[in-house]
Amino acid sequence: MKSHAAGATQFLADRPRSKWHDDTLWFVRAKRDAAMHTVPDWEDLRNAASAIKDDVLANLDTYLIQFEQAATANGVKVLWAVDAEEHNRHVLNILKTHKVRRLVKSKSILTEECHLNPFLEKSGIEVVDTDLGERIVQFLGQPPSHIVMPAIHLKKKEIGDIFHEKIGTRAGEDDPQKLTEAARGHLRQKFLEADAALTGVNFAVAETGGFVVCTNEGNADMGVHLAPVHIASMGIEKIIPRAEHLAVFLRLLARSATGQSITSYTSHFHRPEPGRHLYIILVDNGRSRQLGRPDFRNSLKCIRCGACMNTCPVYRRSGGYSYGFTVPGPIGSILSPNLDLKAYSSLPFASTLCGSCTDVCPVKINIHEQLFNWRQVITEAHGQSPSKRLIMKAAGRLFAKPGLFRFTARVARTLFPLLPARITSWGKSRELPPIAKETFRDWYMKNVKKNE
Amino acid sequence: MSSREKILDAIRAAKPAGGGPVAYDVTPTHTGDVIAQFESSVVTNGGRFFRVSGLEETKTLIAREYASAYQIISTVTGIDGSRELRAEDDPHTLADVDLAVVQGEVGVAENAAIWLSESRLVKRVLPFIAQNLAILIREGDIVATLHEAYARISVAREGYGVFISAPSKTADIEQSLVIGAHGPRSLSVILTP
Repeated sequence: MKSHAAGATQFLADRPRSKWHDDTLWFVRAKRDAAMHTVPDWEDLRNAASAIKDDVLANLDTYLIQFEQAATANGVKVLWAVDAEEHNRHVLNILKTHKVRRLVKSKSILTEECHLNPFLEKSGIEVVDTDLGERIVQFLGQPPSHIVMPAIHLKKKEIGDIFHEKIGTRAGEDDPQKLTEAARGHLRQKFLEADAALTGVNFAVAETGGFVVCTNEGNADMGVHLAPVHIASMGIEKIIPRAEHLAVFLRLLARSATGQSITSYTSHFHRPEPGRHLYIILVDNGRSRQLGRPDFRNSLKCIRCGACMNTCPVYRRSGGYSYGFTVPGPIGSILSPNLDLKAYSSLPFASTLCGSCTDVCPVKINIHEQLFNWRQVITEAHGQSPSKRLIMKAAGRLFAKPGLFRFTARVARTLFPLLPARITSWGKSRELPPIAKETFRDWYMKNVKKNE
Repeated sequence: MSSREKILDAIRAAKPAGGGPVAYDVTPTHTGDVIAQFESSVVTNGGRFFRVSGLEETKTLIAREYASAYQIISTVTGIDGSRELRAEDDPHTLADVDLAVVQGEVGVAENAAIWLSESRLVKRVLPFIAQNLAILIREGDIVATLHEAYARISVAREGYGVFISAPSKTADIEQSLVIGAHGPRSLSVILTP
């Protein structure tokens, strides 16, 4: 698997685009800040959300059973899937039962995680992603590069080109209003023709057996209210105990995600519309394993707002694809090693550990600490590269001997400015700052020590 | 062993000790005029806000603002549409609706979210498939925050309910805001006494 650094290098090859990506996401972060400041009880909300999720993690089995009972009593069919493969089989079986040829989907990161689309397409099902950003990347054969803004890496000209090819917009048309209008017409047809609709789940309520789906476009509702079959795929960690808790999470979610006070649509599903069918698939796929890791279980509190991506200095500059995982950015870098420690071993290192992700997280996940903890686990399991090991060993020896350290520091201060900055990967795109004339120790001895 | 048992067993083996209902305290701090804040939230979200004195003014307003709407469905008593809607209708037949007029139950000042339940909508798809949407909401049904709203509604009483806070919108192309993604191209919120 390609390392994050290699992916980032690829993205950074186009400097103006990388800069634009960085600025665009920072703008979203700024909108989040503005929205947050309008809520005086913001920190109370974060504490409450985190505490509610603590309860969920400590009683996950109980809440899932409660949810299943309530949902079943509501006329909803509840299915369980140990892994992605079983989830996909459930979906296909449901589609076969109802003789479905055409499926419309609204945003579901879980189905991306399960690679559902290619699986269904192999069985001859037409799968249409209906979120505009997701439809764009689906046309391009790409995965989403951001969990909230799937096509954030693309310029409108590129979108215009693919729309021209796929849905016949005028060549060179790149006006967002006109492109969206064209997509509206195209997707409305798909909604009207669909035999089934699949959605994700933002929150599921244990006490009532219902679930909530949030969108701005209204695509989830267009799909499920027209098609006779609705399948909702949810990770088992999406459960919350009571309906009143929705207020806590919904006040945090959209503000953290895009700076909106709430999404345009917040839909609550409890029973199928008379004569129609509603299925919920509860998916584990590694979540119970993560629950068993004391240092990392808090990552399961995530409500997928994307705030940690928008604020991350590494994500903003390296783009979503550099991570090579369904959920990119800081949160993805603490979720992915749980699924495959080796394949995703470079991701916890794709961070400056600045802690900004932790500061913006609406459910107070200690993301940067977990990144640091994963580094220990990964280094223990796979070792370090020979060069890094050598450097660490040498540094260890050096720091253990004050005399040697002082001597080396003196030599290095003379030699370092003479070396080309490109000698380390950090120096590739950076200038070396001027080295101070005096060491801290010399300054200290002169100015502090002598006055004591 | 079934997948259900496998998952539940794995959770039981993995979950942390403790648990039980947690104490948390969210006391929404709110001051000021909820109606003014509600109006400002509607406009911020891209909706239009109207305040009327009663049913007659509502009818006049709708006739004026939606003069070109041909297919109108109203599920509000006292306001006539151009055709009837029944629960047993095929939702696909609503594809040509220009305007839907519905009654909201609770409106939230902090974010302009308005709760609509299935029985008031008649068909769930109505407020999504219509080209334009008008929601009536009574002044006395405006609350400050979502906490108060959830205290007033019972989410599981009906099979479906939705908070609508804005017209359908997207910013998926270079973060440019476009109103009218899949659902209504416009939203009018009409505040009644």
